[in-house]
Amino acid sequence: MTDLDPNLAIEIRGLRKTFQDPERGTVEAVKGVDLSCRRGEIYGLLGPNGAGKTTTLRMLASILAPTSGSAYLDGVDVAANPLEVRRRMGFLSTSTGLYPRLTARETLRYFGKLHGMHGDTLEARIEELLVAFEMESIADGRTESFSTGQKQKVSIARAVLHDPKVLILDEPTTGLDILAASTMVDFIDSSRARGTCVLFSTHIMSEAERLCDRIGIIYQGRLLAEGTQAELCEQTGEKFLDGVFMSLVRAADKSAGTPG
Amino acid sequence: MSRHSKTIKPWKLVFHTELLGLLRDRRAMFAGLILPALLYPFMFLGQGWLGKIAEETLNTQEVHVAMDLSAASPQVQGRLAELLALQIPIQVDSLPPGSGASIDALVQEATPDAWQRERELAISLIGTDGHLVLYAVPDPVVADRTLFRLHFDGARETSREARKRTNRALSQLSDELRSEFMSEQFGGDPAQAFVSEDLDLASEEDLSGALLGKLLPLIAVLVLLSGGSYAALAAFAGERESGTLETLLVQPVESIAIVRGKFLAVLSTSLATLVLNTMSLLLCVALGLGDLPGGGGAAATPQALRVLLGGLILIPVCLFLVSVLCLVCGKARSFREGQHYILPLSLVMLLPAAVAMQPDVQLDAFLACIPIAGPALAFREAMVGNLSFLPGFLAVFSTLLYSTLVLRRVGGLLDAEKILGSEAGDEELKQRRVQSRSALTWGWAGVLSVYLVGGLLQSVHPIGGLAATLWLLLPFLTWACVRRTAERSGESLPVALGLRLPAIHHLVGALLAAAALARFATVWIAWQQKVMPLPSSITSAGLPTQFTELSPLLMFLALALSPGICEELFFRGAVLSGLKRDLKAWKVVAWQALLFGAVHASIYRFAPTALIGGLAAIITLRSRSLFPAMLLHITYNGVLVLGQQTLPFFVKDSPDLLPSEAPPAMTLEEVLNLPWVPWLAIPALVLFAIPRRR
Amino acid sequence: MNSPPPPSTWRATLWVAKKELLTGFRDRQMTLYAVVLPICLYPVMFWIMIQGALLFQGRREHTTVLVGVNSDPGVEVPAEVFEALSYAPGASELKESGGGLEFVEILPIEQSGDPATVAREERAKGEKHIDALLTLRGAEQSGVVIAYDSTDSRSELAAKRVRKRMGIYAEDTRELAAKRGGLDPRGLTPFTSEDRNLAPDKEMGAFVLSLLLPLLLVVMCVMGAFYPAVDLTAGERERGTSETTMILPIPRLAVHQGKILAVCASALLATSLNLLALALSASHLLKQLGQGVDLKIEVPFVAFASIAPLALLFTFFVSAILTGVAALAKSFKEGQALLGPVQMIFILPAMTSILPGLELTTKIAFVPVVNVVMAFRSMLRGEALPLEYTLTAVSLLLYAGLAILFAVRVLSRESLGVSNKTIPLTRLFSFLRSDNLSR
Repeated sequence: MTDLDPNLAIEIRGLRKTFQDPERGTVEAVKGVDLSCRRGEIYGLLGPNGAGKTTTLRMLASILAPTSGSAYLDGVDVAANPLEVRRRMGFLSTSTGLYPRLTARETLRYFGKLHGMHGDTLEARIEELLVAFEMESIADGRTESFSTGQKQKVSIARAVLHDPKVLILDEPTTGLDILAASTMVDFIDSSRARGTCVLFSTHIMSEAERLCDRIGIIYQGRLLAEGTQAELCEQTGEKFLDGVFMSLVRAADKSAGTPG
Repeated sequence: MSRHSKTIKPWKLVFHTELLGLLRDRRAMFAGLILPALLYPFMFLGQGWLGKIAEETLNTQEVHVAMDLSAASPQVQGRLAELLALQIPIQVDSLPPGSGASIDALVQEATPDAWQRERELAISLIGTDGHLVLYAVPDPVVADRTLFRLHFDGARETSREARKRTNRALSQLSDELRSEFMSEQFGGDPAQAFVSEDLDLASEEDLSGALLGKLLPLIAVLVLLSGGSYAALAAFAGERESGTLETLLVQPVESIAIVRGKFLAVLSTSLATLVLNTMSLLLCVALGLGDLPGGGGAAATPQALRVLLGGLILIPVCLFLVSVLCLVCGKARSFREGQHYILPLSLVMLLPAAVAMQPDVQLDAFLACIPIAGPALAFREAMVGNLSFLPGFLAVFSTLLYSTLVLRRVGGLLDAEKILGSEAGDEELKQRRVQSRSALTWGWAGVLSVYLVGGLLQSVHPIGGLAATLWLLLPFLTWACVRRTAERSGESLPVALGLRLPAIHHLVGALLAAAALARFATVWIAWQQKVMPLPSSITSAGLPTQFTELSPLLMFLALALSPGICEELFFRGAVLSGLKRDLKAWKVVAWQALLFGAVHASIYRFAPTALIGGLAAIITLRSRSLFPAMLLHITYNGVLVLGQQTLPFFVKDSPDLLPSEAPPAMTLEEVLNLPWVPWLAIPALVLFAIPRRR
Repeated sequence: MNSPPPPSTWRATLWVAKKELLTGFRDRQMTLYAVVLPICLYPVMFWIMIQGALLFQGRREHTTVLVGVNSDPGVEVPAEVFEALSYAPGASELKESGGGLEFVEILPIEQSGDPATVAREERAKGEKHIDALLTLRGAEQSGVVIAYDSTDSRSELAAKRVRKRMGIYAEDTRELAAKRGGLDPRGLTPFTSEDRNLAPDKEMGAFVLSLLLPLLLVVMCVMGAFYPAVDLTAGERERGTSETTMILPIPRLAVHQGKILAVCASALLATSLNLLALALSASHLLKQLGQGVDLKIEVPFVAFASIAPLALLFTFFVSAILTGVAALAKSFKEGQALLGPVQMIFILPAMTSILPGLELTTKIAFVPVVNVVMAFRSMLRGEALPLEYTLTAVSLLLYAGLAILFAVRVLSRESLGVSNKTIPLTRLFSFLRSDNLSR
């Protein structure tokens, strides 16, 4: 097998994804991304819309199959054993919805059972999460009557229900109001303490600055740079993250524009 | 800890949750369960009620008949008046004698002008309140016989009713006079021994079974589709809409388990609707609230065994219908889009189910394999206890087979790659297979316009219409279709159409293939005649006389050369050039066969024409030129058109011939029937195996 | 600086309607449903029906039925009966079609007894059993009995053929008897009768149309208004695009009226396309059935022209009510569920158009929906009822006006914009009374 570092929760090597397009030929959404996260680390994937963030995360979450390259999650090959990968990770994106006619508790129970949990273990875990997210009062109300923040809490609880080793969050705060977004940020922050590895994508610089142990900057399907915030600032000579981002993007545009 | 660590199977869980969601949806319950359960019985019973009212209104309506019976014998006059008086309510007004004769003169004249005057006169005789005029005149054909003629207005309901009543009285009179004549002359009916009387062997049970057998398949389709559509849309399209699909796909279960659970939820909802619906219908009948259409009060319940057997046949049908429903709803990306598909789907599914309503359609192995129609007929036969094993087995087996095929596609519905991959780049989905999509759209547009516009033109003028279809409509479609393809690939129009010089050996191959194909077609048609014989209305119609009167050369031009060129230009030229860019070769050939079979718009011609279409597509793909396919088509049509022409090189070898006589030449048709003709396929195959030189 | 004068309500109404139509028909789904589907569906349905009819006709004609023949004890079956039974009408067509047209095979049966018992026994016999049994009765009950099973299609077919042939045979026997007795066989046919239809082909066509078209028109109109009505109200709410229209600097009334107008225009378009497709496919496709279809339907353009104004008013009426009701829903899905029962309100009364005997009277002219179908029917038949037509038009105008008023009232409720719930139909009136208007 491959020489996997046991300390790494996520390891992505040369991941590529191409879509066929008869008009424009082959479109490369992701053009070879290498990335790795240690256990308990919070890693932020920073990039504008259409940079390939979502596609990368979806390939890692075994939703899409990569065209080439490999991805390992908690030491499991995503392509070879997608079901095992899904058991070990939690996935959440902004577009995630809830079943309107199920209650919060039923929603959690449903997904818990799909993860193979059952009986008292499951019920205890649900209760624990309901308390942790302060949802006891709304636990038996249908999700269609919830506010955005309440829905977001249910979604988060759903993602961490099976106590995943790795959390993959695709733009988790986009479209949320301040209260809901801060619930999300607090949650990400708290997962560090639990030793969960979090990989999340965002285009909000302040979030990345506040939360991330390490940051990767992705642009036009390529990972331009990777490192802690300080490393990135040092590398580009900029003071703030948005400056880092802009200078990297400019450099990338320049090298793409002038061949050789 | 419980002993089984994974007690609940994922599909059961999905099934359970889907059902729970549906049951909590008040509207879904109403639209899916309560509404159909109330609506259909209501409609069936309402229809009967309306019919009854209509009949009563007509029966109580008084009709006015103006009469001049002066030409009939007084005895007949009296009897007819008596009989007419029995047709209550009727009002008879006498006309002056001679008015019958005056109108008869106009009828005898039989010119368009006389017809106008006849109408005017008749209308004036009927008067403003009247509905009909009846008069007696001497029969112009047989001497000494009276002719009763009546004029009525077929466009007025009351006049039609008046005609019905008058005719009833007339036929009663005829019967009376006739039996009087026979008893006077023969002392009774001389054919008394041959007057037939019907004896129906069917029991009450059989009759009610037959009634249910006819109705239930239709109801099943209606109810399953309307009752299940909400559930199917909620389970598939609704999931995409609410954004829960992505979450579901990252759960550690196979997506097939999810699909299975959803399918079962839809199936059980639709079945519940069906059971509820049938029960409410039967309850209405049992309570005497109304009759089933055509029921006539057959109330006995059919035998339990038959119902059981019928149920066994109906269940695969439900399976098939629900899987088709799931497939259609699963393809929809939103609830709204899915809703659009339901109406056409229901209509298309209702047609084959309605076959069971036709009393003179018999089930056999061939019909049994037609989806929905086969099991619907089998169900009807089972309900009357007439089902034999083979057709019954085939009906169930074929339906199960079709369901499996559909279900396999349903299983692929939640393929994340397709759904999310396309969401990731919505552009991408639009662009995918754009050329073949547009070619197919044009192909079907061609089929439809040839069918509608071409059909209309040919009904106006057979030859002119055909010429216009071939030389105007098809070239226009060809141009419209190939224009975009050529633009995209940067080719000139002729190149995109495949109008380039072919290899000589491919032309020869096409010629040989055409001969073999023509021979095969005759064998096929002889076989087809056994399974689906041509009805007399088609055989007696034949080719329009305008064609058969043409000289052989013109006939060849009209029926072989023109179709060969124009149809090939459109189908193998324009449509194929679009298809082959995105699709695998076998798919291109299959589409070509389907389109070409469909454009000939007759089930009797479907198989032979589809074969030509497929073969011509293979040849075109292989030779990368349109000309061999054109040659194949022209030769094949030519052989059919000129079948009666004699060929000088072939002579009949007949033993009765005297040595001095010259042997007669064979017709083209006879040459085709020579034993070596099928073997021409082999050299044709070899020739096409040799690639075109670069 | 002078700001430009605000547009008049009418002008603004037209703008809104135009924009709604444009966006509506740019939506592929909508175009497919309103334009492509009717044009394709009718021909395809007709094609399937015609081909099915031909297929079954061919198979029926080529079915050979087996008929058992027996007689009561002591009665001989004359050879002529066998001859008469095997005679196939249309035998000249036999050769052309490859044989087997309406063929009857005869199986003489020795056993005699009660026809029902014998027939049941014979029919229970293995693979090849008789389809019907013909029994010649003895002296007391003279005549023949045709025993068959009406629930078995083959058996019914056999009985039909035997019945027909025995009828012909009996008539031949009578004529022969008359000739033998030196009598005039004309006595058997005491008189002839002839019916002549005074209505020209055109009127007959109009009559047939008048039976079908009024109901069809109402159904097409309701179906045509259905999707646009839901899409422009509930659909808009779901997509969250309603605010953009609401902040336009034009009177709200114009926005609401524009929507109703757009729904009405789409309904009219869908109805006319449906009619066109129906006309195209029905007229010449029926000819494929060959002989037997003698009906000549000409499109009565004059009648159509007279229908048009009433149809327009009716479309306004339907569109306004559907739009008003659909506006209560919060999403497309719920809107559809809400409109389901409402469309029945139009279609059920329209069923009266298939009732013969009912006529347009001054009273009926005031019953909504029924008045329209009755007026359509009378107009197609060319009946001149100026008073009734005028009354129908006036009452329709009134109803359409009321419907528009209703729709505008519903659309202008403030709570529609805020609430994220569907208002159930049962609460419609209290909702209309209590709520604030948004201006």
